Amino acid sequence: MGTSGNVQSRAEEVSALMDGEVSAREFEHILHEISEDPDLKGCWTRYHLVRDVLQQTLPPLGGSDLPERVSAALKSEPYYLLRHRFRHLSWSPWKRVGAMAAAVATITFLAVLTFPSHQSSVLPPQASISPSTVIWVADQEQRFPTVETDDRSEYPTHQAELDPYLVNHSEYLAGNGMGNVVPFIHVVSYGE
Amino acid sequence: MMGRTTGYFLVVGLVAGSSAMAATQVSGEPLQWLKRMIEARRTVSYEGDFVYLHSGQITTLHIVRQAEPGGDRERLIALDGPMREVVRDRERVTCTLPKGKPLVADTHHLPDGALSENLSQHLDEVMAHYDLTPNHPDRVAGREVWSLEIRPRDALRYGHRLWLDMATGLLLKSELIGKRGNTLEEIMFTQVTVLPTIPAGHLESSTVGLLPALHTSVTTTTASDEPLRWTVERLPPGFRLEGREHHPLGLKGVTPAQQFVYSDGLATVSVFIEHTPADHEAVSGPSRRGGLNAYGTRYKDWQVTVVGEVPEATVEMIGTSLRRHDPLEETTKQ
Repeated sequence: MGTSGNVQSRAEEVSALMDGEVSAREFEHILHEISEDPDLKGCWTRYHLVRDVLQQTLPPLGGSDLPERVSAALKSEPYYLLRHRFRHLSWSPWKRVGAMAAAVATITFLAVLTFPSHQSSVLPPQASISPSTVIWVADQEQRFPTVETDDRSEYPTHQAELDPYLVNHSEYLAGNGMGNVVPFIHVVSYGE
Repeated sequence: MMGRTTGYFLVVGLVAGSSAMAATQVSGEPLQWLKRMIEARRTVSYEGDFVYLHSGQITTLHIVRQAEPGGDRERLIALDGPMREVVRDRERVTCTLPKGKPLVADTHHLPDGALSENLSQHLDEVMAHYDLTPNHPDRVAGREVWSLEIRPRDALRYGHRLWLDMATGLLLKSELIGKRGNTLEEIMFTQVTVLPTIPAGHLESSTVGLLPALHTSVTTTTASDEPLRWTVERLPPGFRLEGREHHPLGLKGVTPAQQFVYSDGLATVSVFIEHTPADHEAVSGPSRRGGLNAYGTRYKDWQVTVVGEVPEATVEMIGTSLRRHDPLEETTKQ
């Protein structure tokens, strides 16, 4: 897998960790990786921040640059990971868009009013906020069903092209008692 | 091909019988459990629900499987999201996939269970590339299970953690393990019922007449009688050619295709070769679905697509080292 695939794969591990979808063994492994890898640590922090914003449980740690950092955190996440992170909320796309936009707007407003000077170590100050930044996130949410991604790992642009090969590969395994317990799993579990 | 294959199994099976027995004695119970799992795959009929986890996503599925002499029957259906279903028997495969294009899925020539029988006989050879260790008793889907761990000895294949039903040997939970010890995908039954015979109707497609996206194919694959001109120059140790098929109508009903199946006994890779124009829409480069990797590339006038439950590096290595030996071309060079 290429670099982007590795990054996404590891980010997904962090995502799974936050969702409690890892075994005890994986839990230790991923925590160790987070402690060793600054990129993963940043990923971990951003996920927490985004989650806290959506759940309105953000702790009072912000500073004057909080809106910028919230925006940067959202912007730096590939949209498929954002979709991934919040798919369990089972809202309609429009409600989700509205909720995210409202959450970002709310925290921006509150942060400016409430935390005029404190500095936080949650995220590095790395981006400036502008209305278009927030809209970018909302736009991405709206375009979830159709936007192409360069993530070839789980959303390959040629996914449909793979089907004939996977079906015949699976049929060979199934017809000969090879492979895992469900040879057609890679055919049936995709195509959403 | 069937004749050659049967002969091969008989000869190698006799030769390997004594060594397999010795390996079993050395390795003790885990190897016996693995053999029991392989046997259950061929003989146990069941119906159940399971979850499939990959990349933080969860899919819930229902499976019905009837084991029969001469070929099993199976129905697999996704219980969430768009309608997706595969129904297969010894003659045909019927796929219902959203936004799908017509598929041609061929039935194959080998007698059902032949390769799993081969695997059972050659477990000692297979285990030359893996370490097999027992874990501990556990419970899955309300049933008592034994767990095993299979670790690869190189980075060219994946590891497995398996949970086997103590009563039947059925595989009730499995994890595919990456080289960093991470779980790439997981299948876990939440309920399963073992049945002597599956009730009539449970193996019938639920979408017949309901969805236009129903793709049924009933083509017959012919074993290729063309001299073997294709070779993979860089195969992982332990992998060998297990099967070779010719798809006269192609995989998409357009261009004839050849399929070569390589396996080390646990991991399996299919290499598809199609004679297509360079601008043909095709899989290019690597892609992945859960624990299955694919790699597409061009070799002269052929599209080469490699798929298998092995790491990306392995499908790429196989795809880029495929060569065609053309006697006419070699004569000209001389």
